[in-house]
Amino acid sequence: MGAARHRDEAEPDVLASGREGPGVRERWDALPALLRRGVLGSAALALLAAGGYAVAGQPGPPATPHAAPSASSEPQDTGASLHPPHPQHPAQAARITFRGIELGDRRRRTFTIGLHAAATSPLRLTRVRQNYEGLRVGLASPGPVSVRPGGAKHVEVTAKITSCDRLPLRARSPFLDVTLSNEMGPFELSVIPGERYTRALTHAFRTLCGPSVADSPENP
Amino acid sequence: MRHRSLLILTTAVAAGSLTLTACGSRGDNSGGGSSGDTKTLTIGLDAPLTGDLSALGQGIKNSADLAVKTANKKKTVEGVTFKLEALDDAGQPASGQTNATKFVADQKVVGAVGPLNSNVGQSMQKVFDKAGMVEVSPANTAPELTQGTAWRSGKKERPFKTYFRTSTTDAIQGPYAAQYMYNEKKLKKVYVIDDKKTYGKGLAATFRDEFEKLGGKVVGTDHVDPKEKDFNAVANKVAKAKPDFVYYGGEYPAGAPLADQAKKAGLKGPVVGGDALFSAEYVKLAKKNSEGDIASSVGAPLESLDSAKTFMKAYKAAGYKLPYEAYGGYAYDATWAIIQAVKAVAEKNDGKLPGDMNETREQVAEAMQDVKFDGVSGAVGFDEYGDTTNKQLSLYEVKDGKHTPVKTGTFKD
Repeated sequence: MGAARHRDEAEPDVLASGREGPGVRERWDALPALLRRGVLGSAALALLAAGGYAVAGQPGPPATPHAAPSASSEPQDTGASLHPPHPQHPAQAARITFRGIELGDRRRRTFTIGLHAAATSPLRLTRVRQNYEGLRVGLASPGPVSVRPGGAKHVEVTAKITSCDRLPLRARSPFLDVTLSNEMGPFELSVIPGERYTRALTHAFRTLCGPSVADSPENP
Repeated sequence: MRHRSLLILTTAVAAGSLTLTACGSRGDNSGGGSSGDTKTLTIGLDAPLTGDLSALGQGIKNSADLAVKTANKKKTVEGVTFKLEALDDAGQPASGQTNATKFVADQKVVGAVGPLNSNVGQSMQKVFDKAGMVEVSPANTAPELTQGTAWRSGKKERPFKTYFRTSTTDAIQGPYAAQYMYNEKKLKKVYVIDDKKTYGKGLAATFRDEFEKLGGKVVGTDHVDPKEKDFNAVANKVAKAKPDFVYYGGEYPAGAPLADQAKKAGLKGPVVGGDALFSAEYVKLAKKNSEGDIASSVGAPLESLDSAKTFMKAYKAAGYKLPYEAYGGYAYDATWAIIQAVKAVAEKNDGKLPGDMNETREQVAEAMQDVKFDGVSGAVGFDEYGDTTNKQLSLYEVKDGKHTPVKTGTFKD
């Protein structure tokens, strides 16, 4: 790149919106006062209407801690992340959280993992895996799960222990690899749910591989 | 739900009010909110601007500079002009502490961005906390900085209310890499090396702990002096132990020659490490022997973030000589977080900052806890420990001389 400055390049419209030529404010100042008052009035009405829409009719935002930014944002304006004009990268659009584990058939050593999937732009959840040698994991539903903004879904994942000897019983950060897909293509995201998942998974492993089921005919 | 809807309404109207105010204030030629005063506030920056880690430090400095320039251009805080003052810590804790002392003694400094190294961060935290001045690191990853020394046992306690960071901790980096190497790469024997520093030692320990719990075998351990460049003795020990791979807890200036020498000595597998290996400098130093090596790093790959694309374009347009490197986006966000906190304080005080700088600093540190915005690295905000709420991390493998993303995860801690 060298020392030459690239001032001739178009500057990004958000991070550095000020330009050398007359900006919006300069053009605004050049307008007659009457016209400016009219535009201001219309803008205020439009804002109130937008606010009313937000209160009355807008679908609920996805469950994200950043759903309502309190400070104005720089690279994007407030609210832009809620309804982006273009599909977001699947990894950015998805919010997947762990709900719980339910033990299933003890003899067959099965259990289900409950997930909560929300999205800021439409996407499909096509595959779930956990790469342990002694465990087989997959989506309970026959096809992909579609998730839309404001329409969070419960996702059920089935798991079957295939070899008790090949399970890590004390791993600290187990994770699920979730394949997400939208117009930008498929993307595999590791979802590391944290301590609650770790404890629940360890409990499931210990219970289903414990001595009470050790002599079952299906013991691997 | 009602509460949220009202918040949306408030936000929409507030955003609109700001736009209208900005349009209307031009005519009266006042640059300073309701009082008409213009105030210059300095944001301090501490990073290694010279020495082995200067590539990362310069990227941090330039990115913070871009944030300051953007805020000034856009008049993000009416009546306030920001200035960046960068000091070099050369990666040394003592220098970092001296710089922190300089910043707090300067009555124009409102907050500080930095540092890069966790051990430098440790040496600065107390100085800033005593002065009630906010410090936002774009790169410190040692968990104890925010969660206290007993974090591993689950007893998390925030040591300093004034310390925040936009990068994620390395509490997950080590275990994530361990899971990947053991379960996906199916490599089960590792040789673990660290540089005895806060960051390197901690990272190697979290990796080793998880790898062993998964069933992996540690065939050898060692420490290196990161000031050295000759690691042949360790490299020969590694080759003799025949591990499937090496995990190195440390930074690229030592990590790269170590990888190069270990492979020359006979190591067949990759060298794996944390975010301090995620630098183009690593590839430059280890050359062909960096191929296949893996580094974890904070956040999602920048190419997956629309906001980051805007940042990359702006950075290029600004004409900085050196790249933004691994922490540039996080430094931009750290600086922007301080600017947003200043803005929140001004708004709370009817558009005017308190006359007393100590009071301003305290209010800015308090406001930082609630700062939220869509930044370069994604949604920026802080949890009760001062850690970023954007908890993502990625693994990169060197392919054809370039770090290429191979896996991204999102976590809850």
